[in-house]
Amino acid sequence: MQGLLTIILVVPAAYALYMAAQVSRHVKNGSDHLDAGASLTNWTYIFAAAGVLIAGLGPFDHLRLVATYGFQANMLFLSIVCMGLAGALFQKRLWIASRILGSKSPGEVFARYYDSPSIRIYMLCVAFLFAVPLASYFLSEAAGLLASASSGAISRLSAVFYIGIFSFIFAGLGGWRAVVYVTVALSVLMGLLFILLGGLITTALGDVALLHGGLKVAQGVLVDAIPGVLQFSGGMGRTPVEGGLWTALAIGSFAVSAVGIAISPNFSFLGLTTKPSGSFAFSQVWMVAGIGSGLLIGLAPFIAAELEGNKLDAFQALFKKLSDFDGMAGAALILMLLAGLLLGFAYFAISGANIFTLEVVNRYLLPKLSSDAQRLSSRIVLAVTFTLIVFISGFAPALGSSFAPLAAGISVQLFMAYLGLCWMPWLSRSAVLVGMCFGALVVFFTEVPGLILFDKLFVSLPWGRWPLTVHSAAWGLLVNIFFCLLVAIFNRKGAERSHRDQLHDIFARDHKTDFGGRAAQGAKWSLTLIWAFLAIGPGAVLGNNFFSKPIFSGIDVKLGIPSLWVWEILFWVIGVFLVWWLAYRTQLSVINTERLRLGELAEDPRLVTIARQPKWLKQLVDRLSNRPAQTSRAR
Amino acid sequence: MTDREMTDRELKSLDRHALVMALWLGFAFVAVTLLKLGIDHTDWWALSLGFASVLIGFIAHVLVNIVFKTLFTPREVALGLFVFAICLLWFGLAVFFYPQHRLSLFLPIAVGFVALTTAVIFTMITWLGVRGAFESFDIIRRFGPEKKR
Repeated sequence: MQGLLTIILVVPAAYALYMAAQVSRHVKNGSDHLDAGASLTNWTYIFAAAGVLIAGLGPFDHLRLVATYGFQANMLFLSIVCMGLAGALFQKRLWIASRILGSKSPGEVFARYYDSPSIRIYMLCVAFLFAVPLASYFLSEAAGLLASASSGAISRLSAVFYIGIFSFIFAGLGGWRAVVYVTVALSVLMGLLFILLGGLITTALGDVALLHGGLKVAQGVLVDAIPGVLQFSGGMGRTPVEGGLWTALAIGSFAVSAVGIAISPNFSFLGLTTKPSGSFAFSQVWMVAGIGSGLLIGLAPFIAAELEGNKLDAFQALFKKLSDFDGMAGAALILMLLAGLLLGFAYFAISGANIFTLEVVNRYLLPKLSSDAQRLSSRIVLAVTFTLIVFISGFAPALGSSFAPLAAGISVQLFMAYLGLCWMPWLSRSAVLVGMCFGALVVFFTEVPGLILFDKLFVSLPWGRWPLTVHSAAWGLLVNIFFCLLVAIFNRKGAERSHRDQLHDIFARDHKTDFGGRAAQGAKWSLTLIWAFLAIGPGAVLGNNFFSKPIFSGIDVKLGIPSLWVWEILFWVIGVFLVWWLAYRTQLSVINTERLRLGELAEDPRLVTIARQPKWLKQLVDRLSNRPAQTSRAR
Repeated sequence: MTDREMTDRELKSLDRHALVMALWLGFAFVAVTLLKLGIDHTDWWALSLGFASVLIGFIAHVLVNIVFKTLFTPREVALGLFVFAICLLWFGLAVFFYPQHRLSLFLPIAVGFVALTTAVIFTMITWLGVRGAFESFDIIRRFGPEKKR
């Protein structure tokens, strides 16, 4: 098995190195190393976006969740449709804003629009959370999986080091373009192997566990029903939840956190480095909401039923079963899981490092770097990032897994900032900032690190993680919206408004959306809200027995599969239609490049935050860079 | 041709190359897994699906060519023919040396090879026309003496 495992790992690794070498041979401009010259083609976005969003959600963990909590956890895959919706709402306008403002990274777009370095710093913090704790968590899981699959022939620690060093070499050599190419390859591989494994489990392994015995969920968990709209629980670690964690509000609030991945600076960076095209709509509708979500909804229960849900090493039983059937089948399982984990690790780590280079090194630290020096600086930042990740994954994996959940929760607090940039010019800088800060604090104190910090330093908090079975991201967003609107009431017509209106005037002039008449507009928004209410909101509890015990009929229908699963599939289909309607028909994701004037506001003094290097930073850099000369003078 | 245009053309070619490789990486792995399963377990369903994955990979490659407005590169043709010839040789030798074990799989494998060949010929005729497709294999003319003008 070890020989086979080596071969299946060497082939994708060889592809990565080969592509990196090819790109470095072709791309001569050093600054293109960071952002591929913002000229990635449509197909890269189409495949990579779906792969990154699904990897960010963590199919590895979600399969274990479905194995532990049954079909209530399978409902979480509908949050992928929400990611498509969020993409449709924001991705196009963010892209247009970046081209109009002449900005290269998401932080720069927001900083210029709101004229606020604080938003830039907030976005950098979010990018850091994705690039280091979340990437460390993925790397740690990948290394653990590799160690377990090789029966200890490769230790977890050495796997962490090998993967870390290899990823640095290929990213340092090929830059952003090579990273996106490899992301595409891993996305395709992950998707195809998921289909293959689903097919093998349902046809070749004998009795299908899902149909003979069902999911082996934890004791006391409702296997095929949502345990209520919400439960009055103090949160995980405080009071137990009856019937399972995934109440209707838990599912809805989890979808809110999933949106955090779709609006994270790391994911937005992929969109900003892509050429103008129709790839946004295609990816959001067909790849993310359609194929990505559909495959997981349809096949995940079959795979999860083969797992030992409650154990840490949940995949071992399935791996053994597949390997006993055929070595290649076992290898396919490991490769599928590794592809998802490594995709998440490499993409989030490298995108975070590149954002840091663009926004801190090239802007504040060394603003006059030559093209080649930019390439060098990006490699240095990559080296530091990977070193940090490798040390956390290798020696403090608990640190990574504790802080990783903060990434999506804190990222979704950017929601109001996105709304302001894309749709609501009356949302002022102070309103957005106040909302974000309060929202982030609430997320921190309803997640593991905040709870541990408070419990250890002060007194035990009365709530645990996710109180009332509502995800920390949703608690944060609720507080965020409240404070944001409260502040916006008082300064929505301030002097900054005209500054922000410039961009919205261009949106209204050249990039109109086609919502149709009042009736059509009402239908679109009301359908979206009804969908959200029934699919991932309180209405989802209707799905528990909507098809097995139809109301008013008084009869029991034997479907053969749980009513909740049918409900989920039905709302997945409606969800795809909804995303299609908004992305294509309403043109929320279709870009009209004919009317796009590149850099129209790039030189506008009111919208340009000059790349000024702070004085103390300039003195520090000067002192460090001129040190040898001073020493020689002293001699 | 300016440097910038050169770079754009090269990048387009690199883009296409990366996409083709990414697609084949996935489809080839699935195909190899299914073909191995089919042969080891004498399962003609798995074998047929293995050939189907190769066929879908080929169709995806053709679609890439259509999107990028290109043809198969000489290296791709050479690699494809080489792999196809090796597989065909292996099949012939297997039938010859182990007829009792491989006879049950003869039909699905033979149908698979025929299907792949048909797909390739169909693509060539669609893209190049009958004459063009024939001329692609007309080695005698290509390596023969040059015509007098």
